[in-house]
Amino acid sequence: MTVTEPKPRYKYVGTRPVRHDGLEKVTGRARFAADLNMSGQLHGIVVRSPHAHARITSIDTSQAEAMPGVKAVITGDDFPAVEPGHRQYDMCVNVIARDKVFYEGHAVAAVAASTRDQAQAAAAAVKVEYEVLPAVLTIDQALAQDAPVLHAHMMTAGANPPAEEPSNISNITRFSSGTDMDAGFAEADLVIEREFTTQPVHQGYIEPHACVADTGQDGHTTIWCSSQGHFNVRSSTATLLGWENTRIRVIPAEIGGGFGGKTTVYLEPLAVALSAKAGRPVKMVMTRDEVFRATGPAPGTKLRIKLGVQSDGSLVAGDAYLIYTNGAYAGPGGLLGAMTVFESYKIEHFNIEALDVVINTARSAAYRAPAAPLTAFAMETMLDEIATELGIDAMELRLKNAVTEGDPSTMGFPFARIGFVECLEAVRGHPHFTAPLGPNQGRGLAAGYWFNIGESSSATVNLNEDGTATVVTGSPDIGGSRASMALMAAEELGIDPHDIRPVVGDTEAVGFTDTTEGSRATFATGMAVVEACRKMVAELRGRAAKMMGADVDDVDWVDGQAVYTGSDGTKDPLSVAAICAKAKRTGGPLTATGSLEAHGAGPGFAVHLCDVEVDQETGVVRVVRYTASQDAGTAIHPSYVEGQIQGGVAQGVGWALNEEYIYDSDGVMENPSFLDYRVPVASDLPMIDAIIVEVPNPAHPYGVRGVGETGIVPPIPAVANAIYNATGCRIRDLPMSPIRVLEAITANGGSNGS
Amino acid sequence: MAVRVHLSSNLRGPTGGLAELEAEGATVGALIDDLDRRYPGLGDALRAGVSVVIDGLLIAHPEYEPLADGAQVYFVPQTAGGSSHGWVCCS
Repeated sequence: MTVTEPKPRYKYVGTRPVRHDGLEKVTGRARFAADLNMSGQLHGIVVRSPHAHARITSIDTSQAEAMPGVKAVITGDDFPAVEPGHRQYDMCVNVIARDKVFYEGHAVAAVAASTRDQAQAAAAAVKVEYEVLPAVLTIDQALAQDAPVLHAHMMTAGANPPAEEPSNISNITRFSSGTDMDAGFAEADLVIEREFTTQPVHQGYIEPHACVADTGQDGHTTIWCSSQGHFNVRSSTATLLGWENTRIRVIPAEIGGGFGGKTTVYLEPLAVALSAKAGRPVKMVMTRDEVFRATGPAPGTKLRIKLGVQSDGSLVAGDAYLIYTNGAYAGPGGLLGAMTVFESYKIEHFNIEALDVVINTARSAAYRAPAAPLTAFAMETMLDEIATELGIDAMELRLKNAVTEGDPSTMGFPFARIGFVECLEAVRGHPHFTAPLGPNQGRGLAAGYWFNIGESSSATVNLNEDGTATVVTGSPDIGGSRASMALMAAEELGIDPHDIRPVVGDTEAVGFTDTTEGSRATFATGMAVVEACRKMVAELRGRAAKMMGADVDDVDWVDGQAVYTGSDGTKDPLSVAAICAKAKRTGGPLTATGSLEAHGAGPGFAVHLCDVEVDQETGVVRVVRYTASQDAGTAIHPSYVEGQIQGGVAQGVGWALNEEYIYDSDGVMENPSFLDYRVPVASDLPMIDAIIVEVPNPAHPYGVRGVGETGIVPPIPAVANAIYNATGCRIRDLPMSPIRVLEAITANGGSNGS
Repeated sequence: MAVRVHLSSNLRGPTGGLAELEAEGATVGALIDDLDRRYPGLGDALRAGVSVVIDGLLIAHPEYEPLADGAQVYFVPQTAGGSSHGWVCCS
């Protein structure tokens, strides 16, 4: 670990206790959504479109409804009508199609039956007639003059002049320095312009989407599901059904990976509608095939970037034209790409134009630092090329141009305290940086940036009769947040972390909490926990003052004890347990809550160093050493910060080398299984050495920055730069699969261009 | 309260490209009202999925945020969950 700034000495924050949910998870006792079964439960199956783009002309459910065991069949007609312009129109018509299907796998109906086999048989008997429409499957097709327009209502937002005709461009984002770009590039001694393409990739969570819904005769329903935000499941389901939120209670199950892909709903509204119709609980579990075909991948892109640099390595001008596909509906890929592409470096003259484009593939969803890994792929490989061209060390080039406190962001505001330079220096000082390479090996350096967000969080702290505590929050634990909540509470209260039980409360057990996204859980929900604990300490001081017969102002809270500081003789300190034991006599149960809208989320930076070995005959790339630094602000539980960094690297390496959606000419996905969609497994990767840099975020009581996303930003360019240094080949199209690498080596005249 | 307003470049249409300007408001909401009076249409743009950075602090939903005299207020695209942009970010 690298500590870059002096910080307070903490007793518990920064330690590595065994996570509270660890035993249950390693022994198989933890209950994920698919583990839940209820008496009288039915099984739900979704009927999905075989076409990438088609108009639904009729749906006949009569045969399916008459089949053995079938208790309910639903279609889009079972949900309230929704029109374009509705705040969640896209979500509503994505969960179940109405008049049109927009991708192969789009849900058109659902069936509930006594057994899964019966439901599958009935789903196959639902007769859907389609008028097949020409499918738009690529960016080029979407932007063609004669392209079929997917959505007749889609008028390009941000167009100047305003759009008068619908198109497949949902949004245009423009940022610029407002300076003379020609003059900017004229200041440059070297100008390079490059194009990149990337393909959609899936988040690849191991646990498929799953839920159980039980709707009672009173019209209220309970949903058990794994998600990144059960309050969002409640509101989205209610919106789609036209219900009040109060009719729905969502109980979070354990979650087996999300990475952004479980920030929306797919099955839950269908399960509720089926359950309401059948009067029985309904369980729905996606197959892996369904997960690939129907749930959100990260966008594919076409990127074109032009950079101007002076001979001393100073970047002076940057022009970016970014196109992101967001699948069948509008999405923010281009916006987020525009907000990240030049964010890490000081560039006086810049112009960015980003398009968000719809095509006939599954609706994109968030995936760790959405859009940023792709802009980093482009920027960081071009920086390496510039370094080579100018004869400047790649690290020195980045240090020369790196943003620091006070530098303006692309959006104009000055950065607060950030740790980019510290991350670069941490890698430069690591033994890996100067370690010798073997034959056919190359080393790549790359950096990455992500914003992080705050949003709303709630927490309740209950002290028990024996002095232990329960901390209830509304943030699903997808990366070890229970442990971080317990550690912050332990630090505040002075209780051992294992005397604190961190609990993820359901929608009726804790205050509203936004989805676990934007690396916000430990930052924002942690702030709510700290707020609740500080209220609790104030209460404990008051109770202790009563017990001591002292004025509350003469009682301090020191290391988990109430300590008398007055002048009326001496009084024994009182522990939490001692105060709890007399709670009934001093005012009743000890409970405190914290609820807030968290301001001041601190940006995160990361710098990665990757060694690869390239088989010159097959093009197979093997990652042989990897070191990653990241600014965590303050690492509450360093093991889980390291885990987030390592997880981001693993996913980024898969994105770089193997992962891609492959469609046939009709828009049918050809590789919807982990056999054909290759994610890295443990044997594919070396130990990933994580360096935690701690430049505290001044807006958080412990200095926390979110750490869940930034780690996936640098791996793609780090791998690409390493491949270049091993082979002499610049590859600008993802994935850098063996075939593509071999083609590049062959085109380059063999190994290292020789 | 007189404050200094900075607009990210995608929000400068109603101001004719002006990036920085003076305006008044005791809260961000009042400031937006004032900006809309000076530059018709800017209010709608600022109320649709925009965050602010005030004296270094990123605030996602700033309508009632108080402003001190002389504050530096940066309007930037919203990166927060639940915005009109749909999906956002994840860990």
